Amino acid sequence: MGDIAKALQQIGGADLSGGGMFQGTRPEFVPKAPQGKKPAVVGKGRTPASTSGSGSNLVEGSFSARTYWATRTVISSDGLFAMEVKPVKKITFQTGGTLTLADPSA
Amino acid sequence: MNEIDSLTQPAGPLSQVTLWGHPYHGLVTAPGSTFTGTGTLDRGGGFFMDYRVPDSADAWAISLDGVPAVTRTSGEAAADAAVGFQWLDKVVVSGSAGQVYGKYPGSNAPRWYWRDAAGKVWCITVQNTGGGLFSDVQIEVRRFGVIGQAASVPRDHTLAHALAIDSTLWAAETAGGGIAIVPRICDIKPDGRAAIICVAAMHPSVFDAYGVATKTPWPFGFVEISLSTGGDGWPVPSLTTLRDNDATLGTRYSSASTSSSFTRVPVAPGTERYVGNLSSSLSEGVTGRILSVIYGSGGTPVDVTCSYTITTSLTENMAATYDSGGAFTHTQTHHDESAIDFSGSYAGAGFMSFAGAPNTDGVTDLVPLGDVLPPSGLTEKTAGELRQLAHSLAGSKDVQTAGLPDNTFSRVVPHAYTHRVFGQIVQSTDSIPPVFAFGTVHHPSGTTSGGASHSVVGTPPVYRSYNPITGTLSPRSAVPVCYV
Repeated sequence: MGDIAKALQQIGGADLSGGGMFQGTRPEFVPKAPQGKKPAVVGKGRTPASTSGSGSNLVEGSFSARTYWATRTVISSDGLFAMEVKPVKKITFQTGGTLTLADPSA
Repeated sequence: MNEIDSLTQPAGPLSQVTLWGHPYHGLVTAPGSTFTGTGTLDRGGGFFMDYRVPDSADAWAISLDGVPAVTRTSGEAAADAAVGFQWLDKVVVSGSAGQVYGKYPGSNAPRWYWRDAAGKVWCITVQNTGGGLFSDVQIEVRRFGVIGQAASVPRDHTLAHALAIDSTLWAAETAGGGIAIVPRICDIKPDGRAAIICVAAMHPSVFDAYGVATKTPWPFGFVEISLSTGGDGWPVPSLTTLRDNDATLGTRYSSASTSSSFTRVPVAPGTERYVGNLSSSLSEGVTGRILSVIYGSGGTPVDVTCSYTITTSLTENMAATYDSGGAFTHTQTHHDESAIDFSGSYAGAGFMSFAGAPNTDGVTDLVPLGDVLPPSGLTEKTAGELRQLAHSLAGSKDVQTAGLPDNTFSRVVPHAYTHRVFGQIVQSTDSIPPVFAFGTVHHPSGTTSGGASHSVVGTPPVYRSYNPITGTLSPRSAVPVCYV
């Protein structure tokens, strides 16, 4: 079979030798049978394989697991009032992954 | 909470604090719940807007050490102005009790604030110890302004002064009742490291409807409280006597001369009658009475003084009858004042100066004698008091010239808008209700006065305050005002 014949066969040409499509003998259209409603499903995100344990990498595992940079004092604009704050240094997620934040005083 | 910073936090997650504090600064006007911020808002009472009008018009701005300057972009500045905000890198202390943010500090003891080199803010309070101020000043030092920490126990310091307050004068001022001895802040150094305090007599029962004292405290003397950091990190106050009692009173002087001319008039055998005149010429005055001491350029204490002279001439028509039995009857037939004059001045090196004498146009009186206390209107009692005043001035200590208004004797009262801004010199007598006349305001050099003057009889209707940020005087107000 030549290249053209192969191509016609791939696109639905029924018969190249019997005067088929090229001869005005187009076959009757047969519609595809209905497949019905697609059943409902619950979608799932594509989660890469965990390195350890189970859980989400966007949910903190434990507040107490946080680590902090050195305590710094934040004062009111006039300097009269002061608050001591500890900037967060690292947060550990349930998955064991971590988020490390820069030292704001650096 | 075990989630990443909750969105319920006001600043949101991972936000950065830029400015916080109290951005509401401006003129507070009685009755206390009205605050006109930068001129664009009229804030009523309510949550943290419940302003209390300070009981004096004094206001100071303190730049705490190490506090960075407030910088705003043009857009931020426009937004601030739109909502009436004024972010300051200074603490505004207002009123005799040292309010901040228009909040009552819990007592009337004057106080101010200092931030040491370690960044700790301290509240320095001058205790109202009343009679104890005769010999010393008590200072309380308290850590201030740390949010989230338990209050620390304050420390008290008793600092003896050398004001050498005359005990007779002290007793005279307090014996009449209703007279309080109070410490008053006259000025605070711009960095809060020191303050000038006067020990003063004050008429605490004379307040206006808004609780503002209408009488100028009358100083016995002035001290300076300075702060340093002790070995354990707490501030240590020290006291320096700036002006003792005698220096505060200034130079007092008086002179009196009398002459008489009588004619014998025969009446009857054994009885003689004399008629004639007894004339008195009186002059009394004070030079360099210190009203306040403030920090001048370079932090040098500068005296604000008042000087005045009152002269009066009296003529009394007298009659005396002497009978043969030895009795002598003395009768005053007429009492007249031929002249009374007054001149006074305020002065403060590098600060202000003023000199004036009475006039009678009733509008621009610098001294209201010619208007509300005309010579022809003096009663005999008043004239007698003036004479007493003059005579007592010849004594060792002159109670009445250092005294308060509304006491027994005629006196000269300088009226102060603030300890830095003085208004009118007023003469007040016991027989004539206190007169408050407001002339051209005498103010720090480099500021503007505020316009035409006028005089008013009765309860003081004019209040003004000194803006410690801009250095300008507020417009005249019929109700108390003060910057916060």
